[in-house]
Amino acid sequence: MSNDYVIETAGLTRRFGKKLAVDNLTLQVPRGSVFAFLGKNGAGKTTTIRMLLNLLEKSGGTARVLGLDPVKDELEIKRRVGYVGDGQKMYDWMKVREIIWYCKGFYPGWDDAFVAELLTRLELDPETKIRHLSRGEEAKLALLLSMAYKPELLILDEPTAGLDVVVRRDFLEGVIELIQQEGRSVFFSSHIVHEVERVADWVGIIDAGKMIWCSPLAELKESVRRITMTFAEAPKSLDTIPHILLQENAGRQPSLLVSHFSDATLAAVQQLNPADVEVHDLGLEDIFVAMVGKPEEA
Amino acid sequence: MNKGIFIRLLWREWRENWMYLVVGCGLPLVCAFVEPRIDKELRGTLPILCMGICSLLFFMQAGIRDFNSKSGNAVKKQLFPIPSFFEYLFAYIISALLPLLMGVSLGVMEWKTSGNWMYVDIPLIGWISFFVAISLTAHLLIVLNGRLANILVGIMFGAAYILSTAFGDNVGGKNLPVVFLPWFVTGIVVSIIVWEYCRKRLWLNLGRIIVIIILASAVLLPSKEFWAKQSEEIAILQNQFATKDQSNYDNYRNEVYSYNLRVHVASELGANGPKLICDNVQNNTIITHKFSNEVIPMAVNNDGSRVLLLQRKKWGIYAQLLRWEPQSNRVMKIADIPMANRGGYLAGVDNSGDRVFFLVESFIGTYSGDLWVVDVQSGRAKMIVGYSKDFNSEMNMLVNWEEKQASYFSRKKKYVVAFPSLATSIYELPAVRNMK
Repeated sequence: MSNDYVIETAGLTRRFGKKLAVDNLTLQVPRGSVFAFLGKNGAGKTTTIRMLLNLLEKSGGTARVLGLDPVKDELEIKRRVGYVGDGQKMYDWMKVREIIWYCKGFYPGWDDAFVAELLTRLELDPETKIRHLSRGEEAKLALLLSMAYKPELLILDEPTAGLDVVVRRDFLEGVIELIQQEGRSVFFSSHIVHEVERVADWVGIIDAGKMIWCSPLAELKESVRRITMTFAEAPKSLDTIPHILLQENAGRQPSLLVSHFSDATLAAVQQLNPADVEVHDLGLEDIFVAMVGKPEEA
Repeated sequence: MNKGIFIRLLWREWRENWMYLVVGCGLPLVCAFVEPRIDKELRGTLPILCMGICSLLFFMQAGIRDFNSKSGNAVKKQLFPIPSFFEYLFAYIISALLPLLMGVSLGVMEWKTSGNWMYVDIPLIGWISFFVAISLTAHLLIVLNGRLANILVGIMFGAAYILSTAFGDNVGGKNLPVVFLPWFVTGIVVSIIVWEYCRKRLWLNLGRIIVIIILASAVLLPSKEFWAKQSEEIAILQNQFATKDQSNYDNYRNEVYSYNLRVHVASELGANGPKLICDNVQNNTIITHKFSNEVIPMAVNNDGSRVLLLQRKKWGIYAQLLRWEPQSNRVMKIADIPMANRGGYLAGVDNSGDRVFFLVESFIGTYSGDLWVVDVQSGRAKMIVGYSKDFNSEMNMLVNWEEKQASYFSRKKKYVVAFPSLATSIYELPAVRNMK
């Protein structure tokens, strides 16, 4: 296992009875990256994260977080990793000020000045009770608490789930700003793809417990293209074109989404003698849909 | 774990529990103050009511706390960089501060309202441990099974313990916390182990079902025994007969004579098992009766119609006080006295034959004794001094009976136990004065 990665798994597996929730997952999250862990609901994102934090026992494989074993070094990992879980509950009778004081005691690296700065930036009133916070404010508070001790790695599990569009955008912009300032590694899961595109520089896509893609975002976008061809007569087969993810149209003007786009792909297209060929770049959402099907909205 | 973490966890517990602490500790103290000043007939009821409210407070506390603060979720996720058992420790054990303080308060109340006739540490130990166990049970149910399970088991508890304590006068009354504590503790420990095993594998529903079965069993199984005892006692009460006017008892170890020396009862341990022989020279009859376990005759009345016996249950932790009627050859149970397994005991009958005094080795410890008195007519048994190092069945001597009181000599002290109205009110009962 290398020190270049903040998270590294090999063959990580988790079964629930007969169901394979995470299937032989191999994942490498480079240090300093903002890694978007994408997948549909139930794809295995939360299960993977829970195994990384030893909140759930793995059925097989190995995992390292900051080079440490999640089981043996659980406490050290929790000291050095910030975590915001999906629907994480806090003591709602506490005030913001009180929960900050409460959490402070558990982390040696707690930074009061940074907390004060975060409070201002995230527009949180220290005297407000948690039960009176909106869901967006609660999510911001959870983020504050997970960043206040300057963790080397921030793990966000569906941090914007259940928030409306405006609050989601607001929250994510806050995250971007903080991350850019702090230069930390961030690993966050989501199924709302278009929102993470602005934030992430690495992408991993998980489907039915299996890792089906893991690369820098730019490489993914470079690799997956839409090819629209125009033929005089409809071709009998397009199977000679490698790595077809999705065929959108048929007939005389078929449209394909392909991965691993390269000169070899174009050469294969040209062999079919199309009258015209257009190659388009794709957004992350289109790529995601091509790979795993339509994503759900929150 | 550093001091800061300790203070914070403690602070969280205080903020979530202070109102229960005020009610739970305040109520017994108010009760202790009010009790001596109210009508005598009501005196016994007030402490029992207070005990009931305090016990149910734990179920309320766990339920409301979960409802208000959602702290159960925070506990379950175990996100802080402290060993997970510390979270459990503070979620459950530090919560035990509440039962600890309430136990002290209730123990003091019981001590005060009982006329200072027992050492204060006896009720303290009993109530503290009992409250800790109830509190842990309620919290486990909330965290694992939710509020509905907590309410259901709370109702079961109320029915099984509070009502039976309030309406029953038998051995379970004062000894309730001590006798039933092992059930709670076992239930809690097994539940935590089972839950942790299931949680790690995400067999959550299975884990919840198993846990609620275990905890409900821990509540109900001992109570079944408890209620059965109540029924037996009612049966005895229905079959009671008057011995007071015609009997004069005398007692002498394994053989007894009636006061007029006309009836002789002796126990024998023959090849066919233990038996009692009643030799009545008035009507020239010899009647024998076989028993499954060894019996000791304690007293016989002048016409030989009634014999008081003591039988040690072979595998049990009880001594049984029995009544044998030789003419009809019927044997009836009067009362069970809990005692240490294989422990020693002493017993004595007063001159009227109405009361039997027992000194038994404590159910919960060695070299300590419980002093019991049984009202023969009603079958009521009461522990009047419990778990005391001053009482030891091997060292002490019973007893000098007088009409309304009995003297008891321990190694260091002499006690006088007065019985102004044993048969009518159990709370009028004991007034032990240290006679040094």
